[in-house]
Amino acid sequence: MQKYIYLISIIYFGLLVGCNPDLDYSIKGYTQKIIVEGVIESGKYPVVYLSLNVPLSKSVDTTTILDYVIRYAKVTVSNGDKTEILTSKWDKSYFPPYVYKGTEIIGEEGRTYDLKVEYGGYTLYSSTTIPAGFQVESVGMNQTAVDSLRTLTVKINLNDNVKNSYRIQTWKRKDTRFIKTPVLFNDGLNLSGIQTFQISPYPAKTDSSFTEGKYFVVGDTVDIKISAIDSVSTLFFKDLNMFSLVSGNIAVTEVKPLHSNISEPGFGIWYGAAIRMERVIIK
Amino acid sequence: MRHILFALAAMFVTLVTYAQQTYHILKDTTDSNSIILKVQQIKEIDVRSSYPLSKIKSGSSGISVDVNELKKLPNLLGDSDPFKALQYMGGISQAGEASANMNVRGGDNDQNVILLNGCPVESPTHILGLFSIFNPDLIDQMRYFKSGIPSEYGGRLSSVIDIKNNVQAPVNTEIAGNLGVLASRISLKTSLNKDLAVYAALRMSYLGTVVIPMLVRLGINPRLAQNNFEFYDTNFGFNYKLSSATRLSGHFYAGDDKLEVSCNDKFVIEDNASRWGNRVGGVQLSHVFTPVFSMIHNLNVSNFYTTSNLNWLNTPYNVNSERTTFNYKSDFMLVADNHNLKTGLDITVANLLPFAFNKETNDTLNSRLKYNQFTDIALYFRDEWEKGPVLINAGIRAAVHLKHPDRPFSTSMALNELMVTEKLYTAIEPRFFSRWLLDEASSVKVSASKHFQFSNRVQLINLGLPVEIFVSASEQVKPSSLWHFSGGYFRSLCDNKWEFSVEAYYKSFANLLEYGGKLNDLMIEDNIEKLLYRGRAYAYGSEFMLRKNYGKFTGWFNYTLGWNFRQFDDINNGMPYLATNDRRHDMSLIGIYQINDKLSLSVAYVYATGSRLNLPRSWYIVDGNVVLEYSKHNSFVMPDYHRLDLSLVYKLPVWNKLNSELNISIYNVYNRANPFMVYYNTVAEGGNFDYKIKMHYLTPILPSLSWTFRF
Repeated sequence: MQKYIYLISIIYFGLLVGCNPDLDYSIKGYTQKIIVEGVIESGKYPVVYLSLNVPLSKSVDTTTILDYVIRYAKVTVSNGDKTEILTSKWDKSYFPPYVYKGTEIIGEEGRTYDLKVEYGGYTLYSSTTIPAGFQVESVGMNQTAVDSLRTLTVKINLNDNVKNSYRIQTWKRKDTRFIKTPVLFNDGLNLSGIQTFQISPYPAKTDSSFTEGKYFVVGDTVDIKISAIDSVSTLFFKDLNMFSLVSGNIAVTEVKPLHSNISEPGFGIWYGAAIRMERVIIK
Repeated sequence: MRHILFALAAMFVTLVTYAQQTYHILKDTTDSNSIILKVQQIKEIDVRSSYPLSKIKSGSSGISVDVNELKKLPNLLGDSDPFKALQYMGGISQAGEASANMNVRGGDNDQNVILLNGCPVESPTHILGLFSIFNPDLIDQMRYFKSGIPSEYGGRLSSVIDIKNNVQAPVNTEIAGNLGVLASRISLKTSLNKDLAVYAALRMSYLGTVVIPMLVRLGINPRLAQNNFEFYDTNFGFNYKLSSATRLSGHFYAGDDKLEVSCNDKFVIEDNASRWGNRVGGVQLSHVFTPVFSMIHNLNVSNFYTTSNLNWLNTPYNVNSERTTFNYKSDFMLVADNHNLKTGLDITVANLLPFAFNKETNDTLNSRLKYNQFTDIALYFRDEWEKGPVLINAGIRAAVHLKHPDRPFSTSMALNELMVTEKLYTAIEPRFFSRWLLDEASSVKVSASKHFQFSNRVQLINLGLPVEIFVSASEQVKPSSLWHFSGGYFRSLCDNKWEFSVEAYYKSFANLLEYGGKLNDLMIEDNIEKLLYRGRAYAYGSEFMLRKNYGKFTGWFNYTLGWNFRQFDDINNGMPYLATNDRRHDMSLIGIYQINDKLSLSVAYVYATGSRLNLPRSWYIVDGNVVLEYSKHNSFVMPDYHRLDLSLVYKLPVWNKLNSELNISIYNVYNRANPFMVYYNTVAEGGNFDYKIKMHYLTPILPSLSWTFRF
């Protein structure tokens, strides 16, 4: 008898745990957009990635995702004096896995760069300025509860007259790429003077340093990349950070789109970044 | 002397060979002076009655709900819930699957005044809305107003739900209870002496202590053991007759919900432990000066809190919100000729913690905590006048809202100028209701009223969980207001056994609030009022009702055809859009068949157009992040909601004074997958992207058995 009671209970509460069917979701007014992600860093060539937005409910895999990668666009960058058509090639380390890269124009702090993308009969425009340089005062190491692990902080001298925010990335020796800190520092654009920011890289599960998370192992050599971006780019990355954190939660009342600086029917960001690199050995 | 529902009841006592006497009895008062008990033996009483006209003649006293009838309706998981059954009434729609939250004629969930013995209750639900907080064994009276709300009620825009526990002193000690699948309850009512009656009740769930451990032991997903969900509530109260004309009563309610989730991949959140609950207490003093003049004084305290500890990106956080109100209300009632006059004072002092996000390891974020404080004072006057076929209830409510300077949580916090600015709002709320009896079987009712709401709960996340921020009118946020016009035709049929009505309404809202920020803005912005969008709304529709009140078969059919638009400058490019709770069609069909003295069968069917959501239409990847691209605001309609429930109640033979009955219910008979919530299901690994919207449904076909007893 007890057995039957158990059996009935299992079925009953098993039902409560619930099933998760797909919603019968029909696409409402889907329009294709050209997604632009481009950057010109100080001392480096411009880099642009292009893709199309994917209708919701489309499942894509490593093969079909390529249908949404733009490989035949004409991408032009100009600094006012010189104009360059970027050349393209595969870049399997990134998504979209196809990059448009310059070989002539090099980013200079304080200079403005125009972007023109021509694809499928559309022409998109954008413009950005690499912020003025800034000074990294120092990189600090802090003890943790575990002897062999440290946390890092970086001190930056913020210029009162310049409204920049800062992105910080780290590259531990076992990493194969720069890992982002999911925080955009000074995203309120209201800090000034010397400020200390905690570096907390948030590696993906596929990254080798995933288990270390925000900690740094004694003896490791770490490259720290600090990028200053202007107020327009700040708005974009501020929203982007939040989208990535809450993207699993449909219920959030999101009513504002991201702040794009690409003309229609494009969307995305073309930004300049003033770069400072620091290398530390964790002690 | 028991409470009488209607403001003025003319009671005719006719005994064979005795003369007719008329007594005036005032609403909500104690009056034992007028009637003198006299014991005498009589041979025979001949009682004759026609079926009373319930809604045709009713005035502005709202709609009285037959609690016992609602208890017979199919229930979920073995617990009857008259409060939740209000959703079967016309114009009231369920806020979501299995939810006890409700939207009245296009209003939001926070626009309902919910009173427990006169004391406001902020959040009336347990366990994701599956149960209401009201113990069914204690509810004696339940009334609701969706239009023509008289001026003694205020503070919220859309409706009033007035619940009274244990109004009548029990003749004998009474113990009642219920054994259910997830929770059980027990209550005691007794009279300690002829003047003092007390009651106490307890309800507890045992999901985490019994059900889940049992399932885990049986080999069901061991991750279940890492999660827990419990709730409890308790009620205490007394009625004390100080004299034949004076009565003192008191009540206290406390209830908590606890949710523990060990890991939620979708939120990158771990070790989430949330707790929320209400504390409600009050005392009431009533006195009858003369048979036509009486007063009532209420002193109430109400507290609602939420607290959540979670680990987000390896950092512990604590999220809080809280609302505490102290309320004094007095009512004076006078009957003079055809006039029933009522006036009174309503004072509320409130302290709100809108939303606090504390990083446990970083003191600097703690300093962002601040309390909003305000005082509301309202004076009202109304006159209900009845002559011949005409009844008019006209009144006015004058309210003042004074927003005090914010109070910092810690002394280290510097308040900016906006936070310390005092702000005064005044509001005049005219109320008008009229009923015209066309003949003995039909009437027309019209109403027009203005309402103000100074304190809102703004929803952050559209779940059954109370993830909301408390906001009060201030320098930055204007009070919400509403003009509500309503009219209807009511008719009885077949010797009053049947009733039919059709009503139309139009509501025009101003200064409604929507949260316009991102979630992380709450952690950064001191003035969360800056993150709110303000706009207007209008709702209109018609309600049709057919009801059979008497006979072996009773029941009703309600259908509402409604539209609900919103217009915010900052949303949808300033163009009007359909609100989340827009329900074009909303229907309920209830049937109760008394098979014999012991057995009754009830059926409930509900249908409603799906609510609207703001969903994305495509996605793309930038900087390694999947980003959603949205379509026009709220352009997505959820699947329609419909469900059929059945219930069979069998009255067991009385055993040693023990009256009990078995309730067999089948919830969602045809296993309709009604969405409880929707979420993004993301697979974005190894170059494979499967990014879809999926839905959870909580309640598939659910048979349940419960045993209710009383002795």
